[in-house]
Amino acid sequence: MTTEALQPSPGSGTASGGADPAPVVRVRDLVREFDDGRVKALRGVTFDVPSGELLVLIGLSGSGKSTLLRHINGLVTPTSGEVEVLGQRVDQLKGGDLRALRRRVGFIFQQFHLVGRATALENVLTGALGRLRGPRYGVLTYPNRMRREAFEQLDRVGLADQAFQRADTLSGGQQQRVAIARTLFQQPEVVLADEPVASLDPESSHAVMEVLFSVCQEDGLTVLCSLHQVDLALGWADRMIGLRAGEIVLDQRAKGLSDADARNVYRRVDPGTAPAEDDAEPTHAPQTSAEAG
Amino acid sequence: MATATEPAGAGAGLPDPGDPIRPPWTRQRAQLWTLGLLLLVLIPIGMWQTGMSPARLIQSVGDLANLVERMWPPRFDEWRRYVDELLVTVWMVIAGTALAIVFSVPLAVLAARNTTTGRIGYAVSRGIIVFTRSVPAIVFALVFVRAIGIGPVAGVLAIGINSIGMVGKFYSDAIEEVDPGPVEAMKATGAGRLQVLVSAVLPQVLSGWIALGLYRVDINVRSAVILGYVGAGGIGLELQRVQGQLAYSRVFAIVAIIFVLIVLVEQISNVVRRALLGAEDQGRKANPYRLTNRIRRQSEEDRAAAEATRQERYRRATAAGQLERGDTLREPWGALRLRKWIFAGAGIVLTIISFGALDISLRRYLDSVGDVGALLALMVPPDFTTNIARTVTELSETFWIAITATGLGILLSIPFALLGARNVAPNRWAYRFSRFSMLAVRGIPELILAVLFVVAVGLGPFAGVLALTIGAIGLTGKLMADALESLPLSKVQEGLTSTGASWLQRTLTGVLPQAVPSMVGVGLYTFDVYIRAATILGIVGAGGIGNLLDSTIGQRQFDRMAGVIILIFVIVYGVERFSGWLRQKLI
Ligand SMILES: Nc1ncnc2c1ncn2[C@@H]1O[C@H](COP(=O)(O)OP(=O)(O)O)[C@@H](O)[C@H]1O
Ligand SMILES: [Mg+2]
Repeated sequence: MTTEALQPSPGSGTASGGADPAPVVRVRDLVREFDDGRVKALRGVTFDVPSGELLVLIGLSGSGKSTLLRHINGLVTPTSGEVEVLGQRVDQLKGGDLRALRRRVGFIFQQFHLVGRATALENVLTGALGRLRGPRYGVLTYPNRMRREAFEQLDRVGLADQAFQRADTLSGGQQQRVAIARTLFQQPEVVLADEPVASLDPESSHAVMEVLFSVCQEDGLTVLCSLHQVDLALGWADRMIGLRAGEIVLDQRAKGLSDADARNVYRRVDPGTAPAEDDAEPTHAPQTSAEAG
Repeated sequence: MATATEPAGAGAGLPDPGDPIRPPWTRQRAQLWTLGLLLLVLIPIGMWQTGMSPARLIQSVGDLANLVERMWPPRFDEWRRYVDELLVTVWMVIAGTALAIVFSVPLAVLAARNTTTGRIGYAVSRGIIVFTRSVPAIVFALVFVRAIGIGPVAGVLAIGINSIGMVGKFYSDAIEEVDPGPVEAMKATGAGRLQVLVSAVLPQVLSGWIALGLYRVDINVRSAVILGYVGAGGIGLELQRVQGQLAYSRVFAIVAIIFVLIVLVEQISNVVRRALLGAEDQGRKANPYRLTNRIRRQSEEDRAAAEATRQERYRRATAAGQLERGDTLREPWGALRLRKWIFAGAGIVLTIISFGALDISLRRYLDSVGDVGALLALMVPPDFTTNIARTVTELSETFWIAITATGLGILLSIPFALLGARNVAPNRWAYRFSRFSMLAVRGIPELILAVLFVVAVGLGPFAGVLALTIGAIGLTGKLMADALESLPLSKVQEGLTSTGASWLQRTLTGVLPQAVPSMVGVGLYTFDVYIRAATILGIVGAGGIGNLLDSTIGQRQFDRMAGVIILIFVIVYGVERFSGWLRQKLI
């Protein structure tokens, strides 16, 4: 059972959502190397995400989750392989076209990445930059209509009271909710979230994930989220993909997936060789088998 | 002998009797000793080179007393003229600083690695920054007075261009240090280049930029008071006139006025900085008696109050579950926000007034571009070779002035620093006396001091060395005292006090060793500043290459003048790089 679950089965995800003809995200043989090939962050990753799916990525630190997500909105370009998002080859887009695509793809960062000195509302407003033409609207301010929309998004994540508080005076959980509101205000079709709760305490983590997933479901958004909390993932995800050393080792519907199977992804080496060793250190691809093969 | 090279106690048993038991020589210790010994050798040589014999020193005390006698009491009978010219100086500073800031912003964006457009933009902007920073303002003033005539326009341009370098460098450093997170987040929303700059970079750097702009006003006031001396407008013009008339009691009056202006501007810019930046500015330890700290506390209270109002307002707004129709959702006006906008508005109004008061039209600036261009044409190719013997003599004089004044200045300022550091001073009175002396010396720019010493002891490098040495109390002394105050000395002091050590013993054994790294840093910085000063002392007759610069301009030999300016740039820039390298090695 365990070993079977760990076999990469790229077809299984799309097969069950087969009704949808054009996937929102389509990744083929994605390879990304750093430091002149000394670090192989992704070693040929292939998968499709149909519209409206909530996909959770799991895997050890250093397994390539961030790198993968950052390919999807073009913050990183592949060494080889294809990345297609909303029908466009992100890896080939440049300048204005890339910005136009990014507008349709929201990104939520582990460290929130808010402008600390600006108010919560202003931070949400920056989500609309892709829609505006000038540096802002009249340089110093945004249109009233936008302010109201932004405020409504803040309200949705439960932070209307903090609209005019400086972002760096908010708690971590509140900051991440501001970042979620910013992404919602961007009106994206796809949301990428890179360990959105990894720097929060367990309680805020649950609250934030709750907000993120429920809001995205309401709006029918396609979500790719990397996450360490397997229990949370199993509760919300439609499908889970597990990465290990830059390769997909698990790709299954979340329904019916057991907690133990999911956690197997976190083992450093193949189950059976050294099962007890559960080291959370980031690894730089300790196995050579992949290179040999 | 053999044991001396081994670390003490490393071998077995006790060291031989007669073994001096010294700590082993580490590389850093050796370097520090070399530097110290070098200084001890260089100071006497420099004193000899700059004509600073003991006899001359003793004589100069009499000369100074004589001058003080001639200057006392100050005569303010022409005070209206002084006030008029003082205002011109202030307007020149504001206009020049504003000009510099406006040009520095795009320059900084190009010169920051994370926002630059490409290799060419980066190289060009860095080049402009390095050059304008290393050439002193008064050199630009000399050139502009020649090109476009006597008057404040030359002063504004000199201040502006000279400030671009330092402001641009600081601004680009600030951009390079921003948190890359928000930048990436903006990019991820599909924001364009300008949008990212305005929304992610600007909010992070703005307060630092403002603080530096205000600080630059301080610096510019100090250099602007002398610019009139070479014809670039302002109070320096009056100083030069009354000095020419040998009216020393009026010289004293003008120096006193300059002193008041500098101290006042320093205090005002401190107050404004605190008021604008409030609690964010953690530059100084809290001293409850300082006006600036009272303002800061006020800012914090305002901030808290504004926060409460805000919360209250939105609790009400959202209590009904929805927004009111007319609500534009703008940030509510708290006292702090109001004050920020008032200061910002005042800054803009002052800038406009300054251009108006100096009666400078845009036309005038555009014309001056042509005039400067015409002069530049006369400057190429630069001539380095005519009368090269004089060039070499004056260059070496420049070096000796800087070295001697730095060495003597450090020695002179150490006692002031020890007494002027709150955690070292033996009592409150010593502290106050020392701090007051440092403030008083700082209130008179080096070149003005040089003018006074030239009057007292005659033309030549001796006057220059004296001016810079005394000036070190205000510069080096203050920096060292501040550095000492930031050291955690209380435990060391307590430990030594418990052994029954006296203040002097505690200071020599406990404080000085801890202070060595920061003293080396401050010393190197002093040398940086003084090599720069030494290149221009000659303009007021106090020795060094500035003398040659002045005379080539007087003789309209502009190609030679260009040669001298390039030499000044090379020296100043070279010394800065060298001392930066030394600093890294030693500290
Ligand atoms: N910019 C980079 N430069 C060099 N190596 C990188 C860079 N980004 C990621 N890596 C390497 O790629 C591997 C995957 O990293 P990452 O995608 O951040 O993993 P995860 O998000 O799963 O922790 C790691 O070995 C990491 O060191
Ligand atoms: Mg990561």
